[in-house]
Amino acid sequence: VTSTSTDGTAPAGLALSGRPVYLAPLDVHDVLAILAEDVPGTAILGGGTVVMPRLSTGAERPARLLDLAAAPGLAEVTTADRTSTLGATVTYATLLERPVHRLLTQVARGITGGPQIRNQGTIGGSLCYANPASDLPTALTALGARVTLERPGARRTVSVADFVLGPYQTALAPGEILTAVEIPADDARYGYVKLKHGQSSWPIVVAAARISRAAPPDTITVTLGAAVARPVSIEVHLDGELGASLTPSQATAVAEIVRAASDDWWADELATARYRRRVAGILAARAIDDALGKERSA
Amino acid sequence: MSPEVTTTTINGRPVAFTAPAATPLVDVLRDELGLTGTHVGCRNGDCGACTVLIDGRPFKSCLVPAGRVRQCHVRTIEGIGAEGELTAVQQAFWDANAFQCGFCLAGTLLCATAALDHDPNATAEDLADAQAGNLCRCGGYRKILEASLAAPAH
Repeated sequence: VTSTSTDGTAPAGLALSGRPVYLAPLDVHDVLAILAEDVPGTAILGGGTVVMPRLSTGAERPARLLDLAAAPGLAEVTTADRTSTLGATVTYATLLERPVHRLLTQVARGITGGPQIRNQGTIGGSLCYANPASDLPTALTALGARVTLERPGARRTVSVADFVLGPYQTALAPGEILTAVEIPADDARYGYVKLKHGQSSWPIVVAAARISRAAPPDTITVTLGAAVARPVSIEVHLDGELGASLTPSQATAVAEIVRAASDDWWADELATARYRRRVAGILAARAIDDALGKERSA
Repeated sequence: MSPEVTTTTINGRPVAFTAPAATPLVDVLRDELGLTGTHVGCRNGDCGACTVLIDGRPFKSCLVPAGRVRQCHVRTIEGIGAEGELTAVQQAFWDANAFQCGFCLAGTLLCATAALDHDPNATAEDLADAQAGNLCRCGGYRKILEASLAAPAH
């Protein structure tokens, strides 16, 4: 869970130690009560993999650090009424140890940063950071997941697709935190692939594919991350039957549909917009092939 | 105002430190407790040189606020094995020349140790995955994997 904004100036009181005051409330009520104090410069720590480096470099100098890790109620995994609810501080390791959806298991196994980051990085943190190249915003958009946002005395639910507004931008209001993610059960087949050229690199493009079983069967939706500024879902209609993998002409058609879906591709230090547009088409076809290779999604 | 004291267990011993709780754990280990086997590489969670085990799981200690390890069991590279007595993983690393400059060793050794503690029958794929969060600038990955695979035989 990324920080609330700070104005970049060192608040009074910080000079004593050079470190923010550390708050680690034990339950969600206390977290919300601290937020209700409305103290400027309160950074929120989910796993810490994003905020802690920003403290180390001085990019962020909050007066207070509100650590969600001590509140076990935010790390729970529950399933009821065909919906799994994951607390904001559920880690990638928990997604592997208590699988709720095959796509999330696949994503968690493949994140960048190894077991150390799987043990620390959180589902809520990834969503609130909203790095275009991050796996979970795209995977959770593909799954039709929803997030619960809370502030003192108020709670609302929005889809992940509506939560991620753009690069590093979310629908979180001031004083509001993400507390949970809801994932509906779904018998569709899912696939997931990403392109990166170094083990420790952020991905250049990530792609999730969903192939429906229910009516109408074999409807394909591809959700791309880091291709454009926020996760984008594209319906792909293909001629001919779907086999165990796409035919060469189907793969070409997928690539063409995807490349025509936007004229505003994402660019950063890893790749140009032109490169991303080109590989997005290929990644989409590979994601569909990955889904076609799976018999059942759980 | 007297500094707040955080209590934890490090390498099996109860420890109290006074560094602010928001301090990265690696700085408390090195600067206040003198455990300099935990290295500082990138401070960005990329390199793994600051890896420690918290309740048996590997973490990058540049990313962990020190206050978070209250009442936890932290194991650093100094806490592996005993004086003059190598663990099976240490012996395997020694035999395979699985370190050169040694800068990444806290990460590579502790991640191999944690993976083998979790599953003594870990496959080559599991043991490679265990190292996915560590950078070895000497390029010694093959030796690290050879050592990890040979460790259970010791």
